[in-house]
Amino acid sequence: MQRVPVWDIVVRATHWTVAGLVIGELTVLDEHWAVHRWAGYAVLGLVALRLLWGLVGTRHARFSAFPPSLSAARAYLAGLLRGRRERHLSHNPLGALMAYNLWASLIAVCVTGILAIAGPLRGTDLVEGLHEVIANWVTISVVLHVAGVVFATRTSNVNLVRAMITGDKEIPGPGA
Amino acid sequence: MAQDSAIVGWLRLARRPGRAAALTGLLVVQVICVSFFLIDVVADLLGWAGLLDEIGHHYFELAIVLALILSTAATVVDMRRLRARQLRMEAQLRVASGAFMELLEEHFDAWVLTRAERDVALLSIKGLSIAEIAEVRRTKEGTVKAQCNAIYSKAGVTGRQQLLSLFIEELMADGVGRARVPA
Repeated sequence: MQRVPVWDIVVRATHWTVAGLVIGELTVLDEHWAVHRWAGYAVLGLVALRLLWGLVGTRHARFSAFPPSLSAARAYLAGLLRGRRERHLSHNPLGALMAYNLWASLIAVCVTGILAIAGPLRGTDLVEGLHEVIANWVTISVVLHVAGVVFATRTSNVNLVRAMITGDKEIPGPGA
Repeated sequence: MAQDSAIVGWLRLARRPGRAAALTGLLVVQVICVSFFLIDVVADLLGWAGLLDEIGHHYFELAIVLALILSTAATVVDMRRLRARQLRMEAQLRVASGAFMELLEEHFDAWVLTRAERDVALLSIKGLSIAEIAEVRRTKEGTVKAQCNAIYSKAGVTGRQQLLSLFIEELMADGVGRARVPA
């Protein structure tokens, strides 16, 4: 079994903090107004940090390690269905799309939230409606994300959740 | 990881994993606080009201001040640690160079080399060719060749290769710093 360091501390810290805040939001935090906004601002800042890190961070954290590509994702999926097992050190092509989707959706939900309470469009049905729709999309994405992680863990035989906690991907097979 | 940026080099300063986690926790707190202040400033500039009331400015101001104090302390500690390490390495380098010279001197004494032969031996060990040594010492190449032969004979070696390997073996045997005079 080979242990390869993949996720640095910034990737892991932002991932789990945002995950905690989002899950908290979707379940209980929504009730409390101040906490709801607090969480929104925090998520916005943390996603911004992760995106910055995607430009200047460690090798596997950078966007260049997992570029958004529909064709690559399709090829990856087709390969999986045909029984081909792939391993990617950074996000696999499908997971990459989910990462970009989550980042974009989180930014959108936070920004629509801000616009709903301030600025020229505040209080409008448009912005409040958008905010709610995007929030629902985030919920769906989170469910798909968890399912995807479970699926990818099974097919690649690498414990991806543990990798996102410890930072190391434990790749089975011969080797150090 | 030659492609990593300078910021990543900062991360590597924090050698122990616990330390890196603490520093990044600090970073996360600062990022969250910065988000608040930024949103507050932008809202003020745009004339938008109502973004941050009930959230308690003061808690975030306090948090960011504490985070800044801790970051400053961490930076100072790191700077002192780096400086101490640099001084240690410079001292080790001095010891290594000094000890090697001592080793050479002891051997030259044991072989009873003349003043000129010591100079030639040193230059030869440094890697200068016969022609270069002659130039440095402003003598003839023939003179240098004779001196080298004298050195090899006194040292009991057959040539420059063997002379060098004699010292390298000494270095590898008991490390620099304990010069042994050959039997």
